[in-house]
Amino acid sequence: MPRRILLTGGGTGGHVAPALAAADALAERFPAADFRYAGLADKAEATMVPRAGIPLSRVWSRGLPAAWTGVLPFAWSLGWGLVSAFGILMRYRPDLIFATGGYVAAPVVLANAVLRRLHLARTPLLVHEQNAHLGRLNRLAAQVADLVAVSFAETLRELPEGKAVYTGYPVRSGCQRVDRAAARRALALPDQARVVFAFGGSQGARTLNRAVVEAAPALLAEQNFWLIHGCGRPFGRRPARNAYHGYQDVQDRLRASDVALLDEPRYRRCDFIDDMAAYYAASDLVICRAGAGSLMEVCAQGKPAIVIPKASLPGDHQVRNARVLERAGACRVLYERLDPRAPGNDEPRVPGTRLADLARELLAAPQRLAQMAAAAANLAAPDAARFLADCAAYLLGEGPRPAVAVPPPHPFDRVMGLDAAGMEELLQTVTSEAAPPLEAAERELLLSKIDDLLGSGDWLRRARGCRLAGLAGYREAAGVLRGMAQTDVPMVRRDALKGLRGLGSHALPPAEFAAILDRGLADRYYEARAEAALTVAICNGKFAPDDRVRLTERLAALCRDPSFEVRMAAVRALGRLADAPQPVAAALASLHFDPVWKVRSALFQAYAELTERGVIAPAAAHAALDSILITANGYLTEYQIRHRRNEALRRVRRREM
Amino acid sequence: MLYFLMRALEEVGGPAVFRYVTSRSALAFITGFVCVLIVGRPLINWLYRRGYRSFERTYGDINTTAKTGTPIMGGLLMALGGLGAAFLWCDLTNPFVWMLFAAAVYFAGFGLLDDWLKIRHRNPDRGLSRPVKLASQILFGLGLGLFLAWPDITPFPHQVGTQLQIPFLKGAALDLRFGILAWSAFYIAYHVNAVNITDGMDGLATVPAILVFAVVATFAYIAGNVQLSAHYLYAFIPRSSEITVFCAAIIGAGLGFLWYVCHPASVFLGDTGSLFIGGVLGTAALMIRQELVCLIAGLVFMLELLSTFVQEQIGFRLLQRRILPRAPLHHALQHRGMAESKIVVRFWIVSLICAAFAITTIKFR
Repeated sequence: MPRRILLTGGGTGGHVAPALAAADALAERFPAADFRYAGLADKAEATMVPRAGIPLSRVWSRGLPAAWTGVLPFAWSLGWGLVSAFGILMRYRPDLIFATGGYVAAPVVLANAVLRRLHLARTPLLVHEQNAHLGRLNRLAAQVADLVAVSFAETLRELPEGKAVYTGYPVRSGCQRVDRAAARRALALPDQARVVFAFGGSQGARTLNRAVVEAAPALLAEQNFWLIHGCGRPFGRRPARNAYHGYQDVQDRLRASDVALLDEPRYRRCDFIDDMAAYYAASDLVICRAGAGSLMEVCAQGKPAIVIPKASLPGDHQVRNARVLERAGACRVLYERLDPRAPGNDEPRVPGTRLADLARELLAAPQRLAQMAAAAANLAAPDAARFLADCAAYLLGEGPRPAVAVPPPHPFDRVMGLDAAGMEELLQTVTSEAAPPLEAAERELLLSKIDDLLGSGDWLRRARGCRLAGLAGYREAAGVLRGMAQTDVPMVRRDALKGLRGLGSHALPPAEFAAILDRGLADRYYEARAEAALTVAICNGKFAPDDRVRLTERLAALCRDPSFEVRMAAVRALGRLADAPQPVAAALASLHFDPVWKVRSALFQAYAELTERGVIAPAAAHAALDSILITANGYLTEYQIRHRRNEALRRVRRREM
Repeated sequence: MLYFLMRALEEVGGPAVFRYVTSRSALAFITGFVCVLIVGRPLINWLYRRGYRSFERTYGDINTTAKTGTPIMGGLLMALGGLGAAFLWCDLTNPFVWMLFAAAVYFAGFGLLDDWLKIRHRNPDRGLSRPVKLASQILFGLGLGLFLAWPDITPFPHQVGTQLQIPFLKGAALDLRFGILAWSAFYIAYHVNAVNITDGMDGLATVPAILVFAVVATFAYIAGNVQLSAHYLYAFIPRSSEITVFCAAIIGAGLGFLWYVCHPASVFLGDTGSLFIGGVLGTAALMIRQELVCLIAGLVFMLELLSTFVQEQIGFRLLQRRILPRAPLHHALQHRGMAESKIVVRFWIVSLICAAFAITTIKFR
């Protein structure tokens, strides 16, 4: 009896291509096998699957709703999807289901899990994860799957031991290596030319396209440099109205910036590339996105690459993919960022000059390129499709469980997949030296994420970005923070001042810093005033005498502020800043009976500091200390049993080691 | 249950005191208190062993780490004690008692689910989602609204079920008609959330809740008594005095719970407890038709909810700034440096004054 195999997964070409590649290998392994693909009627699979000669059965599905309004359509399509998937499973009765993830796979995976739970079917499920980080649907599917094949050794950690198999990413046989000289002849490229091949996937990538257009003049200034640019075009016959049209965009940009380049023969632009293999073979350097498909093709072709991962994807999976290659020395990563100087403009970009500089640096060092190419080829998994067929055979009971040699996994950067709160936590553990300091690559990713926060249209994210910039010591952001300290959003002003405090007194020229703090102390929002005062307390090292006097006067006035937080901060700042006993002594004296004990307790510190700095006489300070109201407020309870437990734990652990 | 037994004994010459609401209330109070005291220690130990413990959660600079590991779901204790005592001493054929039991089981159930999810995910933010909680409260409120307004099922006399009594004005009442559905949904959601938010410190929610229950019990006794309701010019609601017995059982259980929860607490209410208290409180207040008086008695709850609302909706969402130093109110005071025990006792004082004031509305009209 011929084997029936149901393929599913999609939404983007990145999920469909490996399914089709695996189908090729499966067809070779089981020549009589019958294939069918369950997918959406208007996504990548709708065009790619029929072209591969596999019939497509329609299901309904939809990505997780981002907002409340999406819940009903989501529930509707989930229901319809399940019904259609049940129909397919009952009629087609597959012997094996091969799912490559993406929300398109959800109905079939779920329906199969239900049928198996009800003992109505026994169809095994083989899941393949393309990226270095498990996708959301695959994380779910892994619970009901019989075997989960992964493309990166790094992903094995995220899966239960017995279920995971490393196979690599199956690249389609249409993309095998071809001869470089032949490819150059076919594409009419001179033999000694240095060719850069940039593409953002079949649909094009805005950030990449614009960066390449910006970089083009600098690149083409070198006489033997050629640039081939796959700009991309929208998918399907009737693309959505707001779909990104890559080729059009590139032409428009060139027309606006550099008309001469439009007719430059060394800058070739195409909207769609059929014969990727020839272009790969002809190129010396590839610029691409970090989808698993693109990267694995680059590896299969053994090409050095500059990779621009798409930011803010679930779990940062493109960044993870890119970093796996970069750690192996196969590529260089450039992070796209939002522009913090224009918050709310939600188009991340990569500066063209950086891209051009990096490309020229790499092309000028052929030895480096060769090393990168070798490292890339080393990462390729040419037998991935065959391994997948082995996995399928094992699940169909026709072979042993495949044992594939796993390349040594690298640890991921700690910043990966973190949201703002996670980054704050990480930075706090790093600054408190509970964790090792950030590596250079981690820091670069972190700073790009901070830029994304600072450039966000959401004020809450901007505020977070300000705080993080301070925690991370992101000096280059000082100018942005200075601007944010004067926005209309009170919370952002507060956090910008906090961020500047984190950067320290070297962040800005002293006079400018003093001016910002002066404005901050007069802010309408009490928390901003308090932060400004605390910042004065810490960053006053280089202020000119005039500024010191002016700030001292302001702070003395703030000792009468209605908010106790401001009074407290002002007292602390006066202790560090004041150079003369007046008007400080009077201002502090007015707080000796402050209703909030925290303010009074700040007074003690201030008096001690003022005395040590010789601003007020010890006798006067002593008299002041004696006259401050002390009540039983502010004592701390001691948690003895927990204390003892922690102590015992420490002693026991010492023995354990 | 014992109520039926005693009534049966009465037939054959037993004492007649168990017929009276007052005596049964006293017995229910004592039973509830003793039940919780007895069950308390073993239940707390059981909760701890099962790993039903609180997790660390930081509110800005307010550190609650020291309390990490205290068992939650203590509401279970209060619910078991209170419902047990009510089961023993209430007239179980009474529709008001059914409704109170329904509210208690419904909200304690949702609370348990919420606590359990939090423990399972090891994350205090991963319980039931806000919309789900709110939907469950509104659903119950709508059901209760039907109980009040639907002529075929309501035990209320004509129009009483839909009338909103205005305190301080003699005989003044607003007939909401079917608006009672919306009002009851809002009122239940208000009480559940208010108690839930207030429950942030040792004993902070328990004592104010006990006091409001006492006010409810008083009004239920008046409304269910022909002579008293006529004397004080309240609408007479037949059989509603049974609510007094139920409230007394909960008050007893609440005091028993206070035994364990007073600072420093051996157990926390958890969502089980706060949803249970809020749900039952709102239901009882709606059923004696004294919603506004109960709002006065529970002023502490109102302030807590209001402070959160002002901070989150007006402050963060609208003005993009903090209005209060922290929210809810007790955290604002804690942020100022006030000690927890001090805040708790001061809140008790305020709610005692409010409860007393609510009682005076019987006369001051």
